[in-house]
Amino acid sequence: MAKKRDSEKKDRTPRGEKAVSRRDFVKKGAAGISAAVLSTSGTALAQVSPTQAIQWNYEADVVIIGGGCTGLPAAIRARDLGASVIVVDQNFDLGGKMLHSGGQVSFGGGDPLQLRDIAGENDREGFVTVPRRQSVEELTEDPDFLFRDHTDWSVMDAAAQAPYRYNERDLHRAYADNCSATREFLMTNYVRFGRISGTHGNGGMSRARRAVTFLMEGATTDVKKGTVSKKDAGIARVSSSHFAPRVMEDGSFVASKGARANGAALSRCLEFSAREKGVQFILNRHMDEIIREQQFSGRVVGIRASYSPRVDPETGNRLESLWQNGNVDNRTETIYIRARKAIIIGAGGHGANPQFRSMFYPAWREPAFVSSGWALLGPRGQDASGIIAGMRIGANLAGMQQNLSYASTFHIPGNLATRDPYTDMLPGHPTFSFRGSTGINLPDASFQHLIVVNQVGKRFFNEMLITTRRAGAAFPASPRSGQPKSGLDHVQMDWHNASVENIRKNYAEPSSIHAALAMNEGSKAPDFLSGPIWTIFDRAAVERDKWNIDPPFTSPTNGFFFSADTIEELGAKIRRGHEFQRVPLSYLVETVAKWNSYVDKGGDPEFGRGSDAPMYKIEKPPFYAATLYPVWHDSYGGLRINGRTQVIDMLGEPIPGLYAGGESSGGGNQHGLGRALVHGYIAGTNAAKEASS
Amino acid sequence: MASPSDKTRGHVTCVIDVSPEVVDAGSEMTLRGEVSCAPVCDLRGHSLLIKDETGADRGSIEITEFDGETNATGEFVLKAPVPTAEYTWLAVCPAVVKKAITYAEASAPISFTVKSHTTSVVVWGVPPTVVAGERFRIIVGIKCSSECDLTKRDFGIYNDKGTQVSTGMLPGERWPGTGLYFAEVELETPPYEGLYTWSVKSAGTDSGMPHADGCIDFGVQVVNRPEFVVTVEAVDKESQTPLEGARVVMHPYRTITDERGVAEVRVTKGPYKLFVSQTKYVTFGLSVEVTSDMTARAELELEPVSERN
Repeated sequence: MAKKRDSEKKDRTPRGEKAVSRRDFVKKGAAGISAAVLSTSGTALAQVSPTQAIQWNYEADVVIIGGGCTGLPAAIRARDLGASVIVVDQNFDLGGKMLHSGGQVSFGGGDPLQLRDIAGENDREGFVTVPRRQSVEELTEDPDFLFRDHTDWSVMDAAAQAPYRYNERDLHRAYADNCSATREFLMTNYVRFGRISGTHGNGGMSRARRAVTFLMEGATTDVKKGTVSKKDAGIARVSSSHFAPRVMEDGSFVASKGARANGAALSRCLEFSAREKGVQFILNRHMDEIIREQQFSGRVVGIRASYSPRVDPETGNRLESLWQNGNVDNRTETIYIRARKAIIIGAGGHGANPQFRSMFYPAWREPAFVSSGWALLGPRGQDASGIIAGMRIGANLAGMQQNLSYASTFHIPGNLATRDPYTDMLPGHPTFSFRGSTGINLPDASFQHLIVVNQVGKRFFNEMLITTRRAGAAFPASPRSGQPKSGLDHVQMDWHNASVENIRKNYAEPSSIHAALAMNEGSKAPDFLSGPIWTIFDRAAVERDKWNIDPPFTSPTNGFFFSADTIEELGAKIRRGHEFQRVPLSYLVETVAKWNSYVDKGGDPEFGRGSDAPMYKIEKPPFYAATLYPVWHDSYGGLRINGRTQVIDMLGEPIPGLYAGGESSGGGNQHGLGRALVHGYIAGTNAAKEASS
Repeated sequence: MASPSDKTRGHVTCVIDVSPEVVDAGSEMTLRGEVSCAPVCDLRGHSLLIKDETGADRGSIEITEFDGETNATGEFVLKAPVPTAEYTWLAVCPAVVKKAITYAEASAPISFTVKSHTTSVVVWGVPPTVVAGERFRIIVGIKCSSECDLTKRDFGIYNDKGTQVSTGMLPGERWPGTGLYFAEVELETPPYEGLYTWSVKSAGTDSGMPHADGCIDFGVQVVNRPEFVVTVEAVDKESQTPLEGARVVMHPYRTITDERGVAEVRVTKGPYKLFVSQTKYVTFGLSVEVTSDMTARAELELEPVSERN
């Protein structure tokens, strides 16, 4: 088991002194060490030889960075194989982004759920009783077939991007070979899946592979029995819970009446199992460095991690995890954790790191826009730290262009008045106070009642199309998702799929996101940031379309919603009250006047409104402004890993002892949880089998 | 300026932030200062003196914060002058001796512009169509950017040729939920069909404070007397139940459905795009050519719930 190696006394390093004390340490123990190399942030990289020179605070066979969709299955798997495991996570609670996900897991290759549905069987507990949703043929496949699906060069999506062509082949061979085992593994660790229905984004074109995780609504929450209380599952439009930051959805159509489905049913069950099996968790702990024997050679030996507590802005109290068994509460500024066998990076992606993500798209250097789960994960979530730590010790990258091949990598959800429009969190989760508002979630048709302007107050796109995004390329294919054929008719590796004729016919990239991120009169050198996006509407719109603009859907104080008696006043309030409004909305009054004149004329010569829906004047006070923020949902491109999920260096060789998966890794364009769970399973298996150093 | 050889002299730099930089005459503005010294020193307890354009004292701001490098004052709220102009005042940091170092007096400009109060005019409640020659009503709301009392403020309504067609006066009531002074005005429609751009103007006053004029345009859609009735029935496509309160638009005509899901739109003959729209439903659209009374059935589909992954 993980063992605490040091006294608390030594750990009381004052804040702000870590860099100094670290340098001192390197100097003192530096006989025969090459000079410390300064990293980009200016702190010294710990190059340690002999490694015994570091005074480790903790040690375990396997050290896992990130307790999410890669880290939790890896931890359980490594424990099952007899390894001691420490998981560090920068957040106060476990689950990472998996906790707020939809819980949609696509595997395939003849996995146990496909076989269950083919046989027409129910689950062992009797929760899944609805008939199967896909035909036998739609469920029948083997790993070879799945492998081909995930590496199909010919598939083009509706934006003429190829979601499978660039996938790493060794990695996807291993993925295909481990899907069945991973599904089985999850099901033996309290995870319940409903019927298979379709396939989740970029999970393959040819067969149905997706199942949603659920729990049954019951009197109490009991992971072993498979129940969740009504309160923990959440009440739609009223409250979330600590257990489930997003209200769990009705899962009756894939299981039976009373099923509540989303990622909480996956995340909390895995967490429960990991804690039960003796995995140790050091939460509130951000990994800052992976220590290797030499910067570019030798084994990885451990990590340096700093204290990253989250404090409720209203109460001043530190946030605490839902469950505590297995937690190691260490509040020292810096600790060192030794890994005897291996380190697994499951630290998430780069969606919340504006510098990193702007490698793909310079407009995304705009710091206003966050990654989904921003309040839940905190300021250090999705910060690319796992990838950067790997890069610092010589890791190669893979799939860096694959951010462009998934439809919701970045997009504009129709959720107004909140910084993270993806996550519809309600009060009840401890991080709600960070976001302050759930958001006004509008269906597409409701956009007829408003206009959308950029940071200088100018319209930039047809509002009726602004939240439209292309369909993901997965089973069942259709022309809407760029495919010439649908369902079982899709032909793998068929050149017709990628023909110019097909692409011309099915191209449907909406482009509103690009217009939203475009430079405007308020964009200034050197980054030419596009600034916030605002919906503008009036009292009549609220009354007409029956919007609830009261708290918790909006917040009077978080700067994402304003009301005013006049448009001039509205512009001034935005300028004063919104953190990222860097310039005045100089054109807002003119824009609204112009819009009202278009409504009188019955047409919009600028952006084509009026042909698809009625137009309404913005005239009746009070007037409202609510943000319509783009969000970077998930990220692709990260550390290159092989089929054993070992991190590969610039020479094509594995870095001994270092594994990665999920959004910290690259070369896999599959959306969602399936990829990360399989990576975690493979990494946990191999890490536990490494020799002890 | 301290020379490297003179270790007993230091210097002070100060910067003043003015908010807002463009301020209404006589309204509040907020000053906040940052003071840095070379060599670094803690000036908490000292004050910056504020002097206006004539050199007269306007108050002082105490330095209350020191972060180890820079000193900062608290916020200092004062009234802007009334005459509209660009102003440059001064913040003076008097000479001070700290730890045997003499810091010379320093000053920083405080730049701001005083403007007339803005008069914002809002018009709403204009009927989407008015029949030529009939009368119609609009609501006019007016507000001053510094929330001055506008009771008895008058305004004029001007037609598309700039001719005043009516006047009104604000009785002093505020529109519910707002600070807008408002009045309802009845107007006479022009005799011929067409879209007219009229305006409401409210002249600025000099009741102690300079006010700019306020103005807003609004459209008046004048139509001939409708000849035909288009009866629209809106139902949920799946359940075939009537949709009450659905919006029916045949530009420029608009109305809503009753409890039977039925609306009657009275229109003149011609081509129209008929829209029926209802919360949570995909908008129904149909091109129609109206040459006689007619009926249309709009079957609306619920918008698919977007998949969250």
